[in-house]
Amino acid sequence: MRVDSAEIVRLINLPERRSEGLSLLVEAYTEPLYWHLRRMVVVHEDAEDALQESWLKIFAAIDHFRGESDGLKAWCYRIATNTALDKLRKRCRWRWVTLDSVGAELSGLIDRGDANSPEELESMFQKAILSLPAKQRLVFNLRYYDEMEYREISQVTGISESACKTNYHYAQQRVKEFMMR
Amino acid sequence: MKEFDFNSVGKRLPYSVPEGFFAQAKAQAKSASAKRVVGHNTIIYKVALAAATLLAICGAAVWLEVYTSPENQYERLLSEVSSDMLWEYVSEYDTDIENIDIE
Repeated sequence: MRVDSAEIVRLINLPERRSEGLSLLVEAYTEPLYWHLRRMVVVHEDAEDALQESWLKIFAAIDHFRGESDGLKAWCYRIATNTALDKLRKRCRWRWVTLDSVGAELSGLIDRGDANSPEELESMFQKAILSLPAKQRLVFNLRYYDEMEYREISQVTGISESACKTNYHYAQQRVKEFMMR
Repeated sequence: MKEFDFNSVGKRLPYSVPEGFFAQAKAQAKSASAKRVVGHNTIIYKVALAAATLLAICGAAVWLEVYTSPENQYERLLSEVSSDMLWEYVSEYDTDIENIDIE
């Protein structure tokens, strides 16, 4: 689906067409945000919760969105990412693990069938991604699956473009190594 | 050893979602956004009503201050008297001045 962010922003800023703009926003980003969240938290129920929470935060903060219309996608992803990170941090607190090592635990959920893993190669690939440190994992997912530019990834993650490039490069290397084991 | 080819996996994921999930998720999100729009408009109306009430109270206070203070009442009454009447009133004392006996 092609998203006209400029049109969405324009409609949201018109009080009489605001609901139309928000509907378009929901249509455009529900699926991409869900898959982004699912890749982060693995379990469907957690991704569903995070998605609902993200939408509420987006609706509450949309009046404060002052960026250019091409930054709308990154802005929504940033809110969703922070919501998912909060969920993961809670999980870490309960299990006394760090955000970097929570991936190993999430990998176990793919094995247990919680994530409905039908294909071995795809499962292995996800485990490879989940074995990455948190920052590399996030940058890799945004670049590989969401095909974001480094500029957008930088807006989502809050790290510099050059650091995003470095993180993606290392993540690619590590995923390759993992898959060739 | 053969190098891993990313294209062999592509963007496929080992995850699935319940049937009709996205339609339901979109409907829920739209309903939440509609409530948000109503809430937003309600806030605007409440703020406008409060501002109008405040403005009315301030207006009434200013009006009372202008029209009921003693100095203003005096000036207002004076402005209502015509120049002829004023002249007539003042001219009564002309003879008094003339009759003053200065020794």
